[in-house]
Amino acid sequence: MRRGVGRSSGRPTPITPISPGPRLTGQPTATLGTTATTKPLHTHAVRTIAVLAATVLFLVACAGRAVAQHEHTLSVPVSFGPLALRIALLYAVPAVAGFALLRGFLDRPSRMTVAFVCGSAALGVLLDLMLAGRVEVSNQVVFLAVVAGCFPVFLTLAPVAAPLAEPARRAAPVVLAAASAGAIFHFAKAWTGAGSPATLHSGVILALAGLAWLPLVGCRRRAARLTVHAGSAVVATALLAAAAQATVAGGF
Amino acid sequence: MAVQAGAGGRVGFVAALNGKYHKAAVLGFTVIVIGHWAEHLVQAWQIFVLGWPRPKSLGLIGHYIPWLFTSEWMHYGYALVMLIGFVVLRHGFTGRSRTWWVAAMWIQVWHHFEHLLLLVQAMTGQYLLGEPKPTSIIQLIAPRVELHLFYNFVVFVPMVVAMIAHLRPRPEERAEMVCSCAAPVPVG
Repeated sequence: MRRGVGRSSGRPTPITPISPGPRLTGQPTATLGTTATTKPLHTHAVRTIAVLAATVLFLVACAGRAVAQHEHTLSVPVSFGPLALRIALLYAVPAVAGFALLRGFLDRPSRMTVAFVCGSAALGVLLDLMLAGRVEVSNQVVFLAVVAGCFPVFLTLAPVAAPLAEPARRAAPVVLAAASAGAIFHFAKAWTGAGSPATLHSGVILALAGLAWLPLVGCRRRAARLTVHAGSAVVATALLAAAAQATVAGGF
Repeated sequence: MAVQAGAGGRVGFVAALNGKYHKAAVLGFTVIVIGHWAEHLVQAWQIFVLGWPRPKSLGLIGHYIPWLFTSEWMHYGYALVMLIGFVVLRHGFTGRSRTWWVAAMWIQVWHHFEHLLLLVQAMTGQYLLGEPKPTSIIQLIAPRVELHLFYNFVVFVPMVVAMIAHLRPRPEERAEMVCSCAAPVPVG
């Protein structure tokens, strides 16, 4: 059986619930005829939270000195210029857009495919941030876009993220829809003459961050699948056009 | 030819590092980490106690080899060595120590990623969002704050917890261990 995060377009796969095990539930554990009771979960949680809180306080207290002390002086005697970034972006955007356009015709993507597409989207977000100069959205939104772009990669590659797979699968359509709406808004604003190159770049970043979640989407109903795949295809086409225009127009 | 089967049924060099030589490997890794901390502490001493100007406060080794401290290659190289150490040595940890070690490893993955991003910006001359200097992602929400020493703290704390748990394993954790890191159980 192939491992994948998403679900096939036509054949839903049953989800096996993950048992938390006796340690997490606080149930008694039988071991070779003897019964040992583990500590209650809330005691363990309170202690963990207290340790974490103390650690955070300690780190925050140290942060001032750390800020003052640790300066990065970037003396790198090698300079590639932005050409390498542009070439990488010209690979990343078509890779993500191509997957989005063809998703409706493909079977469930393999784990490697998901990792490749999500990684390309995350890479595209970062490359565009470096090439854009400035964007129209706030830094907080940019940060969220970067996190949204990178999280599916972590989810796909990290075994420790397995418990997050099901919640992420449920959240994927929402994240995709929200980012796509933002991207379409910025594209429309730029193409109706009300925006600037920064508007176009904002749309590219949001579209890539949203499409990073497309491989995780697994809708059961046919209508929902059709909506997701059609909407993604529209956003992907707009993304290709916007990235091309920003490149040709000298926005980079 | 006899090969050593180590943690997780692995064979070869990595298995040896996680089995027979796990104690030495973890000790060596700890020396590297503490050495890095020592450099920062010396630098802090130079700035805040000796009152040296910041550009001349380059730690101990950096005082004699300045480019080591002023190059992003050095920072990135250290982040990479840390990441490799976490990845290679994780198989020798079991139970709670494995959980803490893997947590530290994933934080280090992010830390390494941030350094890679800084290095790429320095090499291409294209800075994030047109900033005047290479900018890390976390600076998008905490501007003008350099947090890489903070990252080192955040990686160091779970790493130390993992080591303590590894040295004092529970019986079920000890049963899974293939290394000799844990203190022997007193007999009698």
